[in-house]
Amino acid sequence: MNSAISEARTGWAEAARDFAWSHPEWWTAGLGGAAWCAVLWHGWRHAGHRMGFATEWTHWVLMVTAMMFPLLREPVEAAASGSLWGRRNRAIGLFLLGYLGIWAALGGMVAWMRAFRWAGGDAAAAGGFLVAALWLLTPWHRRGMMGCHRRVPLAPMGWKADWDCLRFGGLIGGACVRSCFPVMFACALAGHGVLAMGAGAAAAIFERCYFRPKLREAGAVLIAAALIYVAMAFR
Amino acid sequence: MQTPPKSEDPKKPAAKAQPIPEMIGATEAPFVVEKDQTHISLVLHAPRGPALVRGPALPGVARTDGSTVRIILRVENITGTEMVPDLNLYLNLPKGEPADKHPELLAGRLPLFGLAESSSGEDGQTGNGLFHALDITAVYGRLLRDNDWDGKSLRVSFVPTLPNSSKVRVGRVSVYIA
Repeated sequence: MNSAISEARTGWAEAARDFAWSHPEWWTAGLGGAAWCAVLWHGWRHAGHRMGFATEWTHWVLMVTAMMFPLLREPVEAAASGSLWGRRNRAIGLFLLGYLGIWAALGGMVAWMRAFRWAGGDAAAAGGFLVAALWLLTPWHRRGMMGCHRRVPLAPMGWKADWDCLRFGGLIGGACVRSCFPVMFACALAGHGVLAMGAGAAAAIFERCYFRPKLREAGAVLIAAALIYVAMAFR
Repeated sequence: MQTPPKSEDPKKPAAKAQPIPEMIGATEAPFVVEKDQTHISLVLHAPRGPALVRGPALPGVARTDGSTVRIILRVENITGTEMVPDLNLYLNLPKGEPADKHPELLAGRLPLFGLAESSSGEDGQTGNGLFHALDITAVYGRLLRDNDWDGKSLRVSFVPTLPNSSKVRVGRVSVYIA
């Protein structure tokens, strides 16, 4: 009996270990899930409220973590599998730091802009989503999306390896900003509300989770969100 | 209560899990392949993950789970601006000796078709360049067995198959155990 329990435990432990080994991106997705919980909780209770600079910036970083981290499976996996075994989690951490650093720097600007009267309310959110839908048609968006698939050679050891991981994250973060900033800004204009973030996340999934990006579907979601905010503005 | 019979057929072999590759060494920085032979070296580290758990990483020797090891050489981010001939890759080619005298050390050929196109960031390309993976298990095993090699440092030689004057930039060469 005891040996059966012990065998079952060993089996589960090995299955969990194999899962973590073959999916090194698991904790990146976990961070994204935790950030979703935090922003949803805020969205239900305080959506659209004016916030101070620090709170606005924190919510921006949380929103980026929630919406973007789950979409980083491929580059995170590349950073992990391109590193020596003992460095895999460190490589992922540095990649995420580089990635989030770009978005966080931009978050400072967004938090500052949100202090203005025009940068809040349903009309601003509607305008933001409309611009985000039009952005999908531009060559800059296309180049940004291609840039999200860049791969850089990573040194195996030492500070060069750390720097390469940071740089890789920054490179993907920069491309991601070019591709997705209008959507994220629209979500910020909507006060990080659940509806806005749901629409933004759906559009990002249509863009990033298919071999051929479904830009029409992404555009339709963003226009629908814009129309809903227009209706809310005239309510 | 009677125990229900197991649905699996005992005669049918269980599906083997896909081996998880583990990187054991890579070059430190990008380098350029010149018109003649180009030699680079990379340090190989002892495996610490799946390759360690699954048993000895020696080609031809069965591991604890019954599988045999595979050694993969990856050549990543190969970029260039012009058409260039393919490259032959040799492992631990003795210094100063011509490559054609050592066919037993040939790891494989790198086809460079589409090099310029994949290297440019235009026309829907990422600019990452070409990526190739060569199964070097046989040569790796032969080096360990016959050449008294310690397996701690690997020398990789890039030899153009035809004379040319164009340069090819290689982002990284890495070795994986699967």
